[in-house]
Amino acid sequence: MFTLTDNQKIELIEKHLSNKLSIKEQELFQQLLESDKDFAMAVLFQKDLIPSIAVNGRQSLKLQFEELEKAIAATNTKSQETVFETIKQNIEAEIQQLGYTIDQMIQLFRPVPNYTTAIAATTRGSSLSILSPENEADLSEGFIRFDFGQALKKDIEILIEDNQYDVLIEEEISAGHSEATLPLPTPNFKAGRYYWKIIEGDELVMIRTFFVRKDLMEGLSRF
Amino acid sequence: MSEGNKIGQAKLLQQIKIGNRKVLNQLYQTYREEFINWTRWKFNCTAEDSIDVFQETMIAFYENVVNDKITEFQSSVKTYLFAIGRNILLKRFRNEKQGKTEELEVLQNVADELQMEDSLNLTERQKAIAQLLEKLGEPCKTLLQLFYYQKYSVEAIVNTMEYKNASVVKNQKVRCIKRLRTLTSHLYSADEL
Repeated sequence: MFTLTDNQKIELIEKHLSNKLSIKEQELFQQLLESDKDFAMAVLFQKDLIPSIAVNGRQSLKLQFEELEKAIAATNTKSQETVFETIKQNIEAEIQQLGYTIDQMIQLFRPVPNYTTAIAATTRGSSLSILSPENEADLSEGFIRFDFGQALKKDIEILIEDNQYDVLIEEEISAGHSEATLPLPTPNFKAGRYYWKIIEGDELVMIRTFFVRKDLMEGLSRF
Repeated sequence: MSEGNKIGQAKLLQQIKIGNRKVLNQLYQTYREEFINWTRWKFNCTAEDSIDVFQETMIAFYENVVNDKITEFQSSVKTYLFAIGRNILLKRFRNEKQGKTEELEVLQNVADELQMEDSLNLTERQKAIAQLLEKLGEPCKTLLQLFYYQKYSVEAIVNTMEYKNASVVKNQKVRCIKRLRTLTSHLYSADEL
């Protein structure tokens, strides 16, 4: 019997494990298995080697995909940042067109602390119920429409102020009316936060806030 | 399937077989989002689980290609990938026993249609060898992985690892196996023969 090199022995085992031995090779394999203890041990080892290597192979592929995931996440963040930056630029341009700086616009939307407290206080125990406008409504269409739900029992006065306490509209609504619509002319009502108050006699019965161009206020949160 | 598609898919398989990682990555990026949305919507997987299943799917797909279990597609790469994904989800649900019976019934129908590598259930000795492979270092680790896992021919290894010729690769492979056998000799006993 001729002697096989180490490489030939390994190739014989590999062929055996993948069922590719010819009849002659099968005979040789069997002879070696019975006569060569080291060959028999090598067969045992090769059987274990292939699944063990598969573990490493899978780990390496997994790493490759995880790297790819990181790259995808980075690209997504970058494109999201680009979108945000574009939105910011658009808002900035629009604010400039209205004749304001970003800081000035932030001031125009700033709430009046006393009124915030008053809104909470007049929510409870009021004799008047108003269906609309809701608190914090966006009224960018040039008017404000009050729906009292039923005819007013008493005369009321509606005051509309900006967030600098300047009264911009003062209107009396007599008893019997169930609704009232007041214009919000553009020169006085540019983008910003405003308040409407309802006075009955000398008593403030309700105060609420509303916005013109609320979308700009939401956009300002990006600055 | 059109002739053009067949040629395209045959090229894709060939590129994956020769270890073109770019092609595998492109495939990953092409079907990733759709696959994740599908597993999240249909099987209520978390985003993290969906990505994990997709990666496992891609690994199984790769192994099927290099082991010649896929030589051509009956339908499309996408159908094949999603079918592997379903199979993996089925196994996970079985293992986790989450009681997702409805999904299990659906998945049962496709489970046997696929020839897939079973997930590796390694013996303690095989696990030990896997760890010792890490210790073996380079070039042995890469060489053995290319040959036994990625099923590279000796010639392909010559090109990839820039060896002089096939004999050098064969000799290096023998040296690596011998070294690993020495490192693992304590795991074997003559009584096993």
